[in-house]
Amino acid sequence: MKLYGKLEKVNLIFWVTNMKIEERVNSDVSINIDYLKCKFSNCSDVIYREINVFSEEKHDTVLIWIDGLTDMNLINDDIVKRLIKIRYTKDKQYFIQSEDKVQNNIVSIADIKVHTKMSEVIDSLLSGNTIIFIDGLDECIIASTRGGQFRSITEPKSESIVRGPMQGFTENIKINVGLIRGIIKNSDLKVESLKLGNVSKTDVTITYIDGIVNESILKEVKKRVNKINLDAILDSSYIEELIEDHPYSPFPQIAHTERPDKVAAHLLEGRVAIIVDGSPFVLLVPSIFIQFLQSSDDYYERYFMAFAVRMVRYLFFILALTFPSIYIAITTYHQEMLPTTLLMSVAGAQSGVPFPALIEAFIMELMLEALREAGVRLPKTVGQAVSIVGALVIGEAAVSAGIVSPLMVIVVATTAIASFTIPGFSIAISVRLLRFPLMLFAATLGFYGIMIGLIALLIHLCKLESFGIPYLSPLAPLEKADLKDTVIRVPWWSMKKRPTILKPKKIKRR
Amino acid sequence: MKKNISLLIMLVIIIPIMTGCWDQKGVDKLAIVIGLGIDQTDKGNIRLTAQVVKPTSSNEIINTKSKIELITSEGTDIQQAINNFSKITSQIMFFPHVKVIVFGRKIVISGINDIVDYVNRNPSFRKTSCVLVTDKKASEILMTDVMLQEYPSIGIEGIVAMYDKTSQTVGVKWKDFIKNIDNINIGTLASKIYIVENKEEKKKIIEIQGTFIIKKGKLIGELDNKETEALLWVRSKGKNGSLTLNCPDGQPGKLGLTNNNVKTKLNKITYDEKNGQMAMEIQVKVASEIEKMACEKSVNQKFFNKIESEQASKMKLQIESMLEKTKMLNTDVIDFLSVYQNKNPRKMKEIKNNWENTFKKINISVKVESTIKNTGMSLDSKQNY
Repeated sequence: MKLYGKLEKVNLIFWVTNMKIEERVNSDVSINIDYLKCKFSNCSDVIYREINVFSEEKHDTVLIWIDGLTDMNLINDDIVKRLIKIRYTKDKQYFIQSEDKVQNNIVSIADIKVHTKMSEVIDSLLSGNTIIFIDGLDECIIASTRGGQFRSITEPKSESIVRGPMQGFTENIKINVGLIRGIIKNSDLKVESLKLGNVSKTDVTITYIDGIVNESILKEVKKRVNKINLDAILDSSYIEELIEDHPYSPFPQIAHTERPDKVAAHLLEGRVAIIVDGSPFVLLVPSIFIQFLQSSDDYYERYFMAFAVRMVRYLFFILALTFPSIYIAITTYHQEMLPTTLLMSVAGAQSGVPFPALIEAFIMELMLEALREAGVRLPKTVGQAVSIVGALVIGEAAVSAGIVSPLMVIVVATTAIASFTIPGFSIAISVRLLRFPLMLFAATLGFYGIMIGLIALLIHLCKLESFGIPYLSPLAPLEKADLKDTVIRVPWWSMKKRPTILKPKKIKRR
Repeated sequence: MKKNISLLIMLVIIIPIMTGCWDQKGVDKLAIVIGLGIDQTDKGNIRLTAQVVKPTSSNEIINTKSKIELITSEGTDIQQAINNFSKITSQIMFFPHVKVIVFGRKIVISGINDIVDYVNRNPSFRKTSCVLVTDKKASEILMTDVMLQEYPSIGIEGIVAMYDKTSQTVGVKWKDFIKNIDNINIGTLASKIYIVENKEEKKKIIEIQGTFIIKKGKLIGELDNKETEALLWVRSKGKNGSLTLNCPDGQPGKLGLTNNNVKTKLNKITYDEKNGQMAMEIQVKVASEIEKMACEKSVNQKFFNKIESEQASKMKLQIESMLEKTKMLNTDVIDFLSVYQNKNPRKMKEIKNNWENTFKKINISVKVESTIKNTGMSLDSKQNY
């Protein structure tokens, strides 16, 4: 390998660092190698293997790959072994240096491309491919040897259900797309990929079913995704925050999931899925409010059970939002609403407590939030102790000390349990936070305050839109046909049409 | 956009702080009144006795001696008296849970129109509280215990609610009490409550029996338990009242009957304009059951027929004596006027002004039909004579 003189080296470095010039592969192998060595200076995991393939003296073939991203078995068996074999054949003249011959007769990798631009070479090198430079040819061969260690497919931790598929997405985008393809075996499932993030160059895929999805929604999604200008996309939540309709709203407008069957179901309804490399959470757009209160469990059990469970969930959703406020409002302003014996126990319970109901509620709620946050980070051996039961024990101690009343402990515990019944985690967080202003309203204005707070929330929800679809559909604007899947889930033999709120092209399911 | 949000956040923060805790009543500052007694003192002032619940915290040992406390306050009228509570105690008197309102005899005699109007107008008082009148002082009633009940007022309310188990008193709630209290022609009823003293054990307990009649806001008269029972029959409410008869055909022994169902209709209302005479017929249909029988003869349909006719005649006598008493008091308790109004609304106006005179001359005939039911598996009596 011949290195240039110092001046030319400086030129080369200067030349390489200005990426504006579109560089092409040079027929001189050494120039290509120098280029890459400058680019990947101080990268010890880029490995260069030189082989004498076609001539005895010179290293005329160079293999370059990045250790850790590649499958070494493929490189060993299918590339290096094959290239080395040529030296020991008699008819060496047959194997003239042409990329065609190398591609077709020597290297036995399945996925081979030929490139001329250096930028593509660098991109494919960083994706785990092996680059083969051959002296005298101004094209290089890129062989796909992707490998590397990835987390195996396990049960999704954030969404566990009783019955149904137990596969969850991993961090590798190829595996994720493969899982979705395995469920929808149809050529209409389109997978469009692009690279986002100026520094990280993350692979992002937009998936949809052609023929069902609405064209305008798809266009809008692509427009927004292409506008993203960020240095790195570390998780799908980065994209979620950037393409939301209403960034200031406490409610999420884009759903995310870790389960391929859920993605497939939503794709079949006319949604678009955005899959991000490095994140097991797939985004589903557009999303509506009711989606966050539904879980895959409802669809895999019989419809009657789904109905009962959904009723419980909706009731507890309302409780999670308003229970402490109702308790504060009734015990401070509207004592006439309680039955007499209950009022006597409330009065008795509160007689020993120095704080008014609002302060008590705030203390207990803040304790619970702190416990919840701490519970996420504690190591597993200690974490078992900090559970809801532990919180109740602390509550008992607080009651004996006379800081809070026992009824308050029950209210707070019920609210905590109620917030865990909500399947969508992002909406559970919003509800937890919205509880506090509602408590403030209840303490100052009683039931009137709660009504004002709830009406304000309702007005805000009515205004929200997700990619053109109103957030509260199908309840408002009312679509009677779509109510089949909102409050109850009618049996599958009765669901003949897709939900019309996403305006799919094909309405009938059968 | 940002301006809107900051404005919204400011409003959300400022408005609750501005109103503060206005109109807030902490539970520990309330005195929960469950019974109210209204008396008249010798000077002519009103004395209120409030039966208040003592709140016990779950940490303290529950003292079984008394769970209630009595607070009295005096004033020239009821408004004054209620305000004067704040001179004695720091707790706010909380009236929405009042279960029982007891009037003393003296004050009902002098007139309770203003008290009734006050209680009606005040939004704290509920229309489901029971109304009772004593023959002596209401404060004594509220001090006395009710059998098997920790909170006396809740006990009294329970007894009044069970009035149809004995049919010896009228179960009057505030909403029934004020229904006709402004009608000068009709008398309103209130249950009678009094104290029974057991001298051996030196214990005093409450008993509720009988009715007081109030007309034009003043006490007019009293009906004892038999007359009350008859009144309930006329109102189609005399269930579970029992009757004891002699065995038919002169046999020794007694017979006990219970009324299962009483239906009354006021029929054949005629008004003779010349004489100013109104005539009416009360038709009572009773279905009853034999509770006990100690007669000799075996049961058959004839036997039952004899019992039925005897029951009918007894009931007729009882109703007629009740009507006699109301005529004597000159009060229309059964509200014949509105029954007549349903039939002839036009002629009502003439009679309305002159109802008292018309009522004196009213001619009421009573007809009772009784049937004995549930005789399917009736057995002969097991007595041996």
